[in-house]
Amino acid sequence: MRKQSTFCAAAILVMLAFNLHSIQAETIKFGANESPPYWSENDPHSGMCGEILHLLSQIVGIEANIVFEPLQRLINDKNNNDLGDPSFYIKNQDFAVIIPIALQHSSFHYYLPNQKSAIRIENWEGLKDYKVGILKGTFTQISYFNQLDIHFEESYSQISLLKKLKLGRIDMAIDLDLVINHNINQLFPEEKSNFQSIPIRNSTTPIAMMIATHHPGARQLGEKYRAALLKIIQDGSYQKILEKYYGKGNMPDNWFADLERFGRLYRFIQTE
Amino acid sequence: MKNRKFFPVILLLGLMLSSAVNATGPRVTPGMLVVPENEIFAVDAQPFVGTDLMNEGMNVEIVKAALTSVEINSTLTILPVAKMVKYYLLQEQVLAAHGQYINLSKKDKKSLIFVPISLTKENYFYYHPAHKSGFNWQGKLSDLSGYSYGSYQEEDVAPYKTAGIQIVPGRLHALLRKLISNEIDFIRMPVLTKNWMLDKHFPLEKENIIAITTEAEWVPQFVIFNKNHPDGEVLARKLAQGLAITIGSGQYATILKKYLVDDEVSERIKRLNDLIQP
Repeated sequence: MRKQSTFCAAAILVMLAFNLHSIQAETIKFGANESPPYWSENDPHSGMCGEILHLLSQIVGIEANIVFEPLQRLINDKNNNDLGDPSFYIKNQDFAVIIPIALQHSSFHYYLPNQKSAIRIENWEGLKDYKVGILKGTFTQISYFNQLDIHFEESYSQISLLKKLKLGRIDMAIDLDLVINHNINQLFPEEKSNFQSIPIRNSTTPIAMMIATHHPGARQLGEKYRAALLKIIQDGSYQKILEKYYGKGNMPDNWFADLERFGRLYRFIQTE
Repeated sequence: MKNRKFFPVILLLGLMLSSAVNATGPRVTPGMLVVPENEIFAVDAQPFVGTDLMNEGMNVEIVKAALTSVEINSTLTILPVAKMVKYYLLQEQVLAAHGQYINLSKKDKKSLIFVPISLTKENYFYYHPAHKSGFNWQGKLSDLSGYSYGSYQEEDVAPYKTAGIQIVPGRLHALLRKLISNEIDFIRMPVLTKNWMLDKHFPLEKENIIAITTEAEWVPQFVIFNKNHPDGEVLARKLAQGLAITIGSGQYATILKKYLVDDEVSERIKRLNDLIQP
């Protein structure tokens, strides 16, 4: 009898261990860079995109853990799963799955009280008379801007860009719309109407979930995530998440056409 | 203990000198505000094409000068990987693309026009400390049978596989790292790229990366025009005309001289002329 109960206990332990292993196997870890309201460690839903990712993962039946790290560290890590704008990552790393799940748009932002009148920008030449702030490391094709005699002042954080705008140390900042609006709400809520923006027409870029090539069953998992994305778009729960952050009826134009376009591109460049 | 006093200063200096990306922001590119005109998509491939190079690199200067000479404006969009350029060329049917390791099938090539714009010297390279006696290269890939080759993602690797060579795909920087750590035996790249990469990323290994063959192979670099684009065939002819004009006027040589020594300039122009002449 004692032998039997010892055997039963051992069997239960083995089953428990097996179940624990299964539970652990149903987890996927992603790296993201703190950039509220898109991704945020301090938000209970991990931000707008975190909310989308968690909903997708729930449908797929997997738990997504988001680890927040500095962007350059995420870019340098060539083996991890990433969340963010794929163009920052694909030069260094191959991914088996790249699924754009949202979009980001940028504008020229300025603080009206520091300007004589509202600013109009039609082309890059129009920036010559202004001191323009950007985030460090986001500036490409330097020769092009040098030839136009346009020079940018780089900052290490979005908060710093915003403070420089308010203090008049820069005239304009090129930044993500949702991020700067979030920061204005946090830092200068009473001054919202003083911060103006000029939309940049070709600034739409995707925010994607990227699964590394070595991740077990990555391709199959990717297909499940794609199906889940389609499902939440069709049943409207995707739109409900977006409206929480953009406001009802304020979703940017062409959202779904752009999401599909980026989806096609990044599906093509996934590594077999 | 003394060093600790300087640590914050060193840290600050490090931050100031670093070009690292610290926070997620929009990538500031000319394309954000420019309406593209005769857009050419190119793969980032230093020192020929690159967002952080002077005038975006040698090949970009060549193409822009040639098109300007026939009064054609063009917009260049530099993309980080060859597969993206291939996507735009074949799926979105854009006007033109530039990039060396874009794997195109025979069927794909039927709808494309290849205009040679320059020649580059390429070679196979190995890491000398890992292969002190070198390779017994007699001129055939089968001489390297049994070794591992670091290939580019979009490279046609069929000839290597046929020769019994193991393939390890990767990006150039990663391949060089693997070569140095003896994870792969040899790689192939333009001599200019090798020099540029070693200067920039592996300066201490410059003497250790050795060419397998004594004679480098001359390889043409093309702008690939799309026949399915309404302006593809016309612009291909215009670029060829423009190249002939810039070669004739000496402007082509002036551009090359910024990047190469004089004797290499004349050799390249001679070989390009041979390619362009019917």
